[in-house]
Amino acid sequence: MRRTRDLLLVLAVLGVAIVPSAAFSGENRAGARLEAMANFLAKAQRLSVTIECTYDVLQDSGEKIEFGERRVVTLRRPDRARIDVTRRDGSRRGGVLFDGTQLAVFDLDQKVYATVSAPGTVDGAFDHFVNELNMRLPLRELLKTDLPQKLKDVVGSARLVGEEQLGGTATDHVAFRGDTTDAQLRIPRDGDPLPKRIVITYRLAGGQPQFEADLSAWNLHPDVPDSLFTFTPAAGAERIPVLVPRREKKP
Amino acid sequence: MTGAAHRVAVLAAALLIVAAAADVAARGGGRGGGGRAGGMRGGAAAGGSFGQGRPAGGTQHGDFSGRGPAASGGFNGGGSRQEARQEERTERHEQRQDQRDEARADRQNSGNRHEDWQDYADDHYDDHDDGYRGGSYYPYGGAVVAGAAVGAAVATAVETPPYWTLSCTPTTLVVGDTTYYQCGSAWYARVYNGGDVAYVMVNPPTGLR
Repeated sequence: MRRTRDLLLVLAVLGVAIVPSAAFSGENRAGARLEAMANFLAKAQRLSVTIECTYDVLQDSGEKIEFGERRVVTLRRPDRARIDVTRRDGSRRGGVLFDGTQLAVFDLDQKVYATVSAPGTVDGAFDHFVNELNMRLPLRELLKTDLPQKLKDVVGSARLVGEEQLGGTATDHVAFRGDTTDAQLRIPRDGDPLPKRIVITYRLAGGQPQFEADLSAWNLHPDVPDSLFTFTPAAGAERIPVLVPRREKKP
Repeated sequence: MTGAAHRVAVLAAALLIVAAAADVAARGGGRGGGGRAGGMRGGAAAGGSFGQGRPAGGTQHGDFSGRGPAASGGFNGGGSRQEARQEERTERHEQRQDQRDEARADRQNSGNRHEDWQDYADDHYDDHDDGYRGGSYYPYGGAVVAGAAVGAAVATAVETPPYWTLSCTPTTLVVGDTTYYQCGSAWYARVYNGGDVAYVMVNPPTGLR
């Protein structure tokens, strides 16, 4: 009788252990990892990361060509941001600076810069940069504090492709589909859920081009003095305007 | 800002574009015209966005374009029907470009272009005041510029899409704070567009009209 009771006790303990394990497998685990990443990034008060980007461009001839660049991102929330950009071929160096009141974009090789008033937060400045100024800011969503809300709709349908080793780190390969894109992220299985690789496929675009990013050198405690975000034009640089597509009038 | 102040700001912006100056070698050539990009470096994938949106910039890379949907790197990147419409517009525009160049060359000597710009700028401000938003991108019948004067969003007109390169080896002229590039009878100035530096056709510098 006592032996039977001990056996039941063991089974009960095993059961308790097994239930949560099942809850974090497959689709649930994928969603959980995605959610953990989004929450973690949104709460970070400061961070820096190096992003090696590549992206396909379908030429008029139908040929698909890959280009690439390195972006070093530094954020000090709520109102400081710096992104240094270097083309992979080294032909262009420049970046974007936001100091809480002004957005500055500069190109050291073309010796030009533009400044636009944009008082407020990093989130607002990034939206303004992309939506109003029609400028380019890859992975903007990843750097904003509303990332959890942005990913909320896809967390439930995210799928775990599998476990993969990436640069010696065990990662969860998570995939989800948006309305117009397919996204894949590799998120470390252990430790901080900071993505190591992101692939976005623009499945409605001709040739279904992909954007790929390898993210490294994550630092959640970077040295971020005010001077890092203060824009000073390079000697001899010309200030130029930003050409903004005009909105059509609503009928 | 009052309507009069708006007009002054707009006029100042237009003058800034048509009157500023520095220097950089541009490529390309053509009869008084700029050369269209030989290749693109932008587009949806360049945006790196999780969603789909507009063709999102990119840069010129030799004979190849670096512009396409994937250049946006956004989760809502380009490649949409909107982009298809944009490509159609661009094609139509390019087909008309030669004819426009001809007409433009004639008009540039007439001194009327500034008034055109002013009209566009005024229209933009009317739109802004009325809260118009949305609509398609790249309707270059009246693009606007931002950041041309003391960080304020001001407006002027650009009648044609920007050129990523110039199709001649231009003559450069610095007037005030702006560098002008001359190809034949056409004058250009640099702007940021879609994340890269491009050239837009502008009025000749003051004194050369």
